[in-house]
Amino acid sequence: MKVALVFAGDSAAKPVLQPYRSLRFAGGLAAEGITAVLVDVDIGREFRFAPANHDAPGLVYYRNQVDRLPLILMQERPSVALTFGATLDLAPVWREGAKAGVPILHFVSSEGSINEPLAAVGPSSVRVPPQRLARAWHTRFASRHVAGLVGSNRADLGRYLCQSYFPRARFSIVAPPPTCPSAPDAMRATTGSAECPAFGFYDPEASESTLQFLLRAIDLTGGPPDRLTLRIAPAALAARVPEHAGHATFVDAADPADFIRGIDVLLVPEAHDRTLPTIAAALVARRIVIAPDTGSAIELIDYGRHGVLYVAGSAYHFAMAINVMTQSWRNRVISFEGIDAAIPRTAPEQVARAFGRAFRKAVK
Amino acid sequence: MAETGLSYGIAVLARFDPRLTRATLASIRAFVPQPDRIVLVVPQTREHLFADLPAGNDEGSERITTGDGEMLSAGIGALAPLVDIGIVVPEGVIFDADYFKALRRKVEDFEDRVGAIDLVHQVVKIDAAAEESSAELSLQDRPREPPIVSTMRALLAARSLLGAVFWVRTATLGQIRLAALPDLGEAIAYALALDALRARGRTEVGFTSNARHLRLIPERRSGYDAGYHLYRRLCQVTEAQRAEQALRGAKRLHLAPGAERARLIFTQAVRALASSANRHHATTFLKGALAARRDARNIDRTVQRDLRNMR
Repeated sequence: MKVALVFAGDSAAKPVLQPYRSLRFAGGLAAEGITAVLVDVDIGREFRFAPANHDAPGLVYYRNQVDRLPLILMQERPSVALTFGATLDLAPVWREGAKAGVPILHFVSSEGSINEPLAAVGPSSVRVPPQRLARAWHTRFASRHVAGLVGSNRADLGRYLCQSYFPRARFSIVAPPPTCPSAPDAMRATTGSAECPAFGFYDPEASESTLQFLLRAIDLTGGPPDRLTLRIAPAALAARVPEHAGHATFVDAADPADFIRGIDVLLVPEAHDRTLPTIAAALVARRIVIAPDTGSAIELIDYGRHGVLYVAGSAYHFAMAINVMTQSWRNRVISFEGIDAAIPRTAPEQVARAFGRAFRKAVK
Repeated sequence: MAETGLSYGIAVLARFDPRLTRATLASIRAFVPQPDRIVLVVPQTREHLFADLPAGNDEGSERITTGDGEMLSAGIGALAPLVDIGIVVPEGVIFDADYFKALRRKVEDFEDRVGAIDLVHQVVKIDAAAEESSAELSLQDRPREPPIVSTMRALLAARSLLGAVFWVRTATLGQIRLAALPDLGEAIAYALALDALRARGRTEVGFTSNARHLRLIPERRSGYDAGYHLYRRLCQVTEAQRAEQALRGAKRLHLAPGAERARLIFTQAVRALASSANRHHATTFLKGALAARRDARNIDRTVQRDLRNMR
C-alpha cells in the first residue's frame, strides 16, 4: 500500500511533527507493508515555511503549493493521503486533496489545538474575534472531506469531534507521539536529596505564558523559597520571564536525559505533544512526573505509580500537587510499576503500527 | 479494522428490588458475545434481598457488598483492573440484544471516546400488584410504548429520573474521584464523573433506543425524602460549580443543574396531575423538592448576610 504523508503550513515544520518524517517511522511503516511518499505543501502563496529535515533517504519527496496537491496525488496514486499540520490551517489542503479522489485522513496533534467550548453564549463569547470565528467555520466546513482521524491523544481529538469538526470521519485512532528514551541504570538513582525533592522543568520551546503559569504555581505553594529547588532548562528561558528570574535556577542541558540527571521530580505545566519525550525520559530514569490531566501524558502516567496529575490549566491544583510531593517526599511510595511496558508503546515502530491500522481501515 | 482486543465488564447496581435486578441480569445474559466480567453490586443494608440472585455464583461474575453511596466506585473499582471498558447499569434497565453490539462499535471505531451516559427514555410500566407473586418480570409480551411518548419524555423529563447506563474507558480514570451515588438519580453521579473526564477525551450524554427502563407501578411510598435529597443534591452541584468557576472559569457541565431542577419540578407536577397510580408519590416528591429549595435559599441568604457583616 502506498500512502502520501502531506505536511502543510508553517506548523508542519515544527519539531513536534519531525518524528513522523524520520527514518525509524518510515521503517515502521515499511514493516507494515506501507510505502510512504512525503509531500510538503505551502498554504499561502506569499509564505514558504523553512525546509524541514526529512532524514529518510530513498523516500519520494515533493514540495509545492497547495493547489498542486491534486496533481501530485494523481501522479503518485496513493491509496490514502494523511495530512499533518495545525488543524485550523488545513481547510485548503483537504479541499484540494479531495479533488484527487483519494481518501483523506488527518493527524490531530496538540499543535494548533483548540480549547474547550465556552460554557454559555454571553459576553465572554463575544470577545472571540470575528476573523477567528469565520476561520473556524471555514475549517469545519472543509473538514467534511476527511474520512478518518489519527490523533496523538484522546483529548485533542475529542475536542474537535465535540465541536462538530470532521462530520464524516468514520473512525479515530490514537497513536501517541513517538519517543525513543533510553536510560542507563546509573541514571535511575535519585539525586539523593532526602529532605526535599529537586523539581525541574525542561522545554526549549516553552512560551512566556507557560513559564509564568509554572512560576505562579510555585508562588502558590506558599512554602519557604529555600526549601523548594526548581531548575529550569535551557538557560535561555530566563530571558522570557526576567521579572521572575530569581525564583528558579536556569541551567543548560544538552538533552532531556542530561537534564533529568539533576532532578527528582519533573514538572509539566503545559499539555503538549512536544513534552512527551521529556516525560518518557523522566519515567525511564525513574523520576516522578507532575503533569496536567489532559493530552498524551495521561496515557503514560498512572496516578500514584508514576506521578501525580493535576487539573489542567489550574495553577492552584498544580501548586497543591507540588505540595503533596514535597510533603510526602520522605514517605513516597511511587513504584513505577508497569512503566517498562508502557514506554515501548511510544516507540516509532509501534506508533507506525497504529498508523498502519488507520490506513487499512480507510481503504476498507 | 477496529481497535481490537478490548475487554468489557458490566457492573449491575442492585438498589431496592431483586425482581428488577434479575430482569437486568437476564438481559445481559442475552448479549452475544458475553461481556468478560459481570459484577453485581449489592447494598450492605439490603443484602438479604438479593441473596437468591445468580450473579456471583458462576465463572466471570462477582458479587460485591458495599455501602449505598459507594456502589458506583465499588463497581468501577472491581472492573477497572480487569477490563478496558467498564459499564455501569442500575437495576431496572433492560438491554436489547443489540445494545452491546452498538456500544462495541462506538467504542472501537472512535478511540477518542472515553465515557458516556446513555439515558433510557423508553419506559415499560408494570403493575407490581399483579406481578407480586412472580419472581420473574417478563418483558416478552409487553408492547413498546408509542415513539411520541418516548420522544416527549426525552425532551421534557428530568434526566435524573430516567434510567441511565454509564460506560467508561477504565484506563482514563486515574486520579478521578467518583461521586457518591444518591438513592435516586444515578445520572447525577455519572455526569459528575464525565465532567472530570472531559479533559481526557470525548464524553457524551445521549439517549439509547436499545434499552428500556422497567418501572413498577403504583409507587405507594412517600416521595418526600427522595425529592428533598435529589433537589438538595442538585443545589450542591450548583454551589460546587460556582466554586469551580471562580477557580478555573466557566465550564460546560454534562447535566446543567439549573435546567435539571426545573425539569424535576415540571416532571413531578405533570405526574401529580396526570398519573393516578403515582399521584401520592409525585405530590410528596414535589413537597420534598420545594422544601429543599426553601432550605437552599435560606442557607444562601444566611451566607450572604454573614459575608456582608464580615466586611
